[in-house]
Amino acid sequence: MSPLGARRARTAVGLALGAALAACAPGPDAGSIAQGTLEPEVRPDTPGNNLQFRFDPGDVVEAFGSTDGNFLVHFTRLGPNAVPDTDADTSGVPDFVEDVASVYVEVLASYAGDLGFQAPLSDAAVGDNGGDGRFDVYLVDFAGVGDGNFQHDACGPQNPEQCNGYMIEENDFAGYGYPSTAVANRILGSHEFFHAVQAAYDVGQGSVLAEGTAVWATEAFDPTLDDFEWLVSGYLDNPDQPLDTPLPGPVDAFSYGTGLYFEFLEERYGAGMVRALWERAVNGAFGVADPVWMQELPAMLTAEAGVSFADSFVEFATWNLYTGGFADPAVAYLRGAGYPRVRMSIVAAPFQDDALRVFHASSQYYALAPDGRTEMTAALVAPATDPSAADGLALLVDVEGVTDVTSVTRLVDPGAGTETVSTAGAARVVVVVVNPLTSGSSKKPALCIGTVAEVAACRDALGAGGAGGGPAAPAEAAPEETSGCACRQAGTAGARTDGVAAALAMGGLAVGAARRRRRRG
Amino acid sequence: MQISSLAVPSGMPRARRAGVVLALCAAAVLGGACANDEETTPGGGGGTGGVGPEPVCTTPTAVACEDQVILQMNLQPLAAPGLVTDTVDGDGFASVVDATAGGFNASPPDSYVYARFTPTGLVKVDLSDEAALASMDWDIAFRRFVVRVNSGNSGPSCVSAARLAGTPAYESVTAVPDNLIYHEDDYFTAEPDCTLIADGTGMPGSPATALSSYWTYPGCVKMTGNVFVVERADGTHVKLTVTHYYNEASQQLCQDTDAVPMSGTGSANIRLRWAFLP
Repeated sequence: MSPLGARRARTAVGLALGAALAACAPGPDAGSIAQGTLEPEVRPDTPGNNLQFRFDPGDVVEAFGSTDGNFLVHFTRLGPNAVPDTDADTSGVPDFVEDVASVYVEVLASYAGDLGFQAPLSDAAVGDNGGDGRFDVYLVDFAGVGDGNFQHDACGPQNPEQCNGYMIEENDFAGYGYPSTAVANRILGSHEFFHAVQAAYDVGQGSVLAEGTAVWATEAFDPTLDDFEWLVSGYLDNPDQPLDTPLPGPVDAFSYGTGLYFEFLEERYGAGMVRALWERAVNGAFGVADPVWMQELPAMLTAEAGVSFADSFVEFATWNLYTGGFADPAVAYLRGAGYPRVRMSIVAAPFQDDALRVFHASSQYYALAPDGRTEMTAALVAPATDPSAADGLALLVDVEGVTDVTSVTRLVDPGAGTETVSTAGAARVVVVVVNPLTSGSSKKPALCIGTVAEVAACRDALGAGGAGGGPAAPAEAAPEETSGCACRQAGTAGARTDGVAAALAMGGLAVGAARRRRRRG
Repeated sequence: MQISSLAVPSGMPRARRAGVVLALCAAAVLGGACANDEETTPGGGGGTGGVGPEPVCTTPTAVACEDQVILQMNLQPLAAPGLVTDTVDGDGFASVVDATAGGFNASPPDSYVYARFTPTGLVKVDLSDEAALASMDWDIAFRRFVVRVNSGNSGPSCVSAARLAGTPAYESVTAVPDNLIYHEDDYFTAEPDCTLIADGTGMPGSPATALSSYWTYPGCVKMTGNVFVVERADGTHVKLTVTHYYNEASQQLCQDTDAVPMSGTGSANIRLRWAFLP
């Protein structure tokens, strides 16, 4: 099992991929994923059910009600599905069961109370509903191939994408990598229960919104849990993946990792952004019959934060420079020190890549040492055959010390190659190519990095003839104001050397590798 | 006799590539089959001006839905390390392709292993996935259980495949049957929709490639025994059948019981038999 799956088996199962990794027949690669079964009104204790995770026919299933009257935890004391029998308070109910119930009480209070989300839809009208309208949690053995899953139950009738459901959850976490069952219950309960919350809005939004916001929700519920920190690398390792497009494959770490984007929305623009987005995802909301979250995101940002998606996404790309040892809670994520650094391509100056491929809502990071250059710049160059190749793209130049971000500059004209930033004394420069569009075909400009002269020579070599991507759309506020970070606009253009000098400079040009986009290489 | 396939860099000049192939031929002691340029294939004139099939295409065609293909097929920018090994098998070859791609769950997976049918065997072409989208140098590609041919959404060439009716014995196919209906690798809906067309196995993201019916999935990758004819860009034809996805014991278990163990199956080391047809 992958580290992701081993440490957090739920991330393999809860993948909204539904049921489980290789729980039944092994897949083509000895570990297949079955799509989640949608079997209305069948529960893990329904006689004769064929759910993947269920009680055995001979299990004696008991139910324990939570103190708030909203949850019913179903468990058994014997056999493979038995919960740990410790009962320190001699209540007659295993402590594990009481803990599960109390976690759900706390989670519901957080989501429906503090954060203002709708509570999950009631199953009172469902035939096999666990006994009553309380939310049902079934504790069964996942045998190490997962640790929990929210199952949709009945949907509609007024809105076919609003569903109630129930939870199935690992019965003892024996052999799992959690530090304790208490931590496991809090992580699992907060993550999976948020899927139940989502089902009260819309179940058809795909894995990025579903898993990304569930990961965010766990962090919002209890920042001391490390699930968020564990999973954000799924995004930070893949910033060149479009924000709304899951990675294919059996374990889509990207969808989980996008929790970082939703954390950014909440930290940058204030509490309620994620809720506002889910409210726009409901069928019929704001006059849209069947909304798609990515298409609704720009309007939500404008309405709730007065910012365009383009500017906010550029800022998101900027915040992602402030993680790990470069974290600065004064300008970016509060807990960024616990996140890994964003994946960068390590290159050398002067640098040229003559064919990037930059997908919508994605970023690519190129890190290089100044090697004595005291001023540097970068440019996106559209080939003559594709003059719009750089349209709409943004270019950031990040100057770093050994352990800190000194400045981040958004170049006013990403195609000019004349705006310089001071790199004197810098340990590293990171150039970030950002495609802040919400859709459309990938952009395929060339990228030049170096001194003004080197970039000019690079542009000449590419036959740019002075054509660039054109000035970026002006930010709605000065960068210092929009980001609150150490951003600044570029200064005036540096001096252009003569052609001979430029040609000499190009003699050491580091040409980009054949790959057309920086991916997970 | 086993012949380890050397990767032929796609950018290598043609003459140099031919030299590599000739060296391979000498090593393989394939005699007359290797006397000509690599592109001279049995049943084909190979552009030498002799009698042979007309090329199906000679210039590349842009891959439709390229962005979606890259994203949904999880295509990668670096070439895969997997090798191709050939054993002479009658008039053709039995080839083993290391399509393990870094292993199940690898994230990211390796690129597909790209290869070309030649008189010396199935020769690996050292291409990354993304480079392959612009290359006509390859015929067939393998990663885990997905096998693609160079056409349609897979590449800019026009390699296509036709499944022979029924399950004829591989040995019984000695010529290109008449009236075959060839299929290119069109497994995305047309632009701008560009939705992946699944192969019906139920495996998430498994595309309906021209060769995808070499297997079914009753609980493991079970060989169908289907025999295909692959039409190459130069107009030559290859008969082909995939015999193994797992190692011998596991494949037999899969064929017999529709199940395999959770580990130790040797999965994604694909074995196929193929031969040029006159």
